Amino acid sequence: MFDVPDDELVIARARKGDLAAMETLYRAFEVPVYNLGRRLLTRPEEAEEVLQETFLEVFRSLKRFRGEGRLGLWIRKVAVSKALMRVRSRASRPEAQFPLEEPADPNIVAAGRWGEAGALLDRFRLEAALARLPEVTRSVVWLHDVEGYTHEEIAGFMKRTASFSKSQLARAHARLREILSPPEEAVPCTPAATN
Amino acid sequence: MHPSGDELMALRDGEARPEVEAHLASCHLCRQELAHLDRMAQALRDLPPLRPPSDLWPALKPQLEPAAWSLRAGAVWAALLMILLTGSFLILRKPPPPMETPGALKERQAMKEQLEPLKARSRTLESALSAYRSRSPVLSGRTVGTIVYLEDGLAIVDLQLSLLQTQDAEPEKLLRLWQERVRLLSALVELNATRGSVTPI
Repeated sequence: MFDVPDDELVIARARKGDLAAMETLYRAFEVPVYNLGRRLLTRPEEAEEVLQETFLEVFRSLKRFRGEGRLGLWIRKVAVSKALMRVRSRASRPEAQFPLEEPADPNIVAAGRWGEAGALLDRFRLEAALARLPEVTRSVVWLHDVEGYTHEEIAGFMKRTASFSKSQLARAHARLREILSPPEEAVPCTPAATN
Repeated sequence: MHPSGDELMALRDGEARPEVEAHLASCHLCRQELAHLDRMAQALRDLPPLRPPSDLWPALKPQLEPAAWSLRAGAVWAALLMILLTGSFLILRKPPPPMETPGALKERQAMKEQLEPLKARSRTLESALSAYRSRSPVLSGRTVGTIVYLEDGLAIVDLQLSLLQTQDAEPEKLLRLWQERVRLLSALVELNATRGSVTPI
């Protein structure tokens, strides 16, 4: 979502403080930035704050962007940094490392087993499972598996080691699998025998 | 022995040890596990993007206006410079206190008495303002612009007050500054209370 071709003219105008050009860039990247914030952070309103903070910084530092790599990738880096600043500030608190493990919603889990219900239910299940991961773990799996950052890059963002990132990724997959696994097979409901 | 989750992840990233790769070639279970990891990553990538619940550009725009930035910053720096220069001048060239008539002394005392209610009002307004700030994080662009303008004014008044109060300043000036402070705080509170639906000043 961030890897879109740069419009050099728009970037040059935005660099000079042209508000219309800034809005064009904002519109091009508001959804990816907000989505990133929502995936990494627990509270939706924090994603809105990250969106605003990211673009304030991007436009104020646009003169420093010299076109090495795409603008979208640079914006993504700023957004990750803003979001992880919040994650890091909470990571020392025990509840952030190991949040309350709410039992999986049996309706969601069970619904996903009906193949005919389709991809929509699978998506809901995955969204719900992802939301139940601790913030740090969720951030690592999202940055690695979706955004494509390496463990070294994630370690740099999080001020931790690459090993930490690797173990969080393994933990994330194990936890997702656990949450998404269907519950133990219940005795199927069989129609009463009729004579 | 099957490789650990970390080792399978490393294999997925093309960083696995050769023995893990060799194991995979002969282990159906581990290949299944690897395929599962790939499917999970793909499913995460396929999740549709979440969109902002409202358009945040109007709130962001006033903060990006270059004219507003430079004018505001220029005005603040000019005011600071003027205050510092005036303050230094007053400190260095403070004239001896003139002999005051009983009438002037009485007037001075009356002005001092007017300060206390203004300070109390100022404290009340500040409490109200903090309560609003904790409740309404997102305001319209126009409201944010006005708030920034009022807060800049407040910062200048506060600086002037801090300089004057260290010099046992004239009550007339103090009174005028405290009145200005209350006026700015009232406007900020009103603006937060109405969330910008009316213009306070």
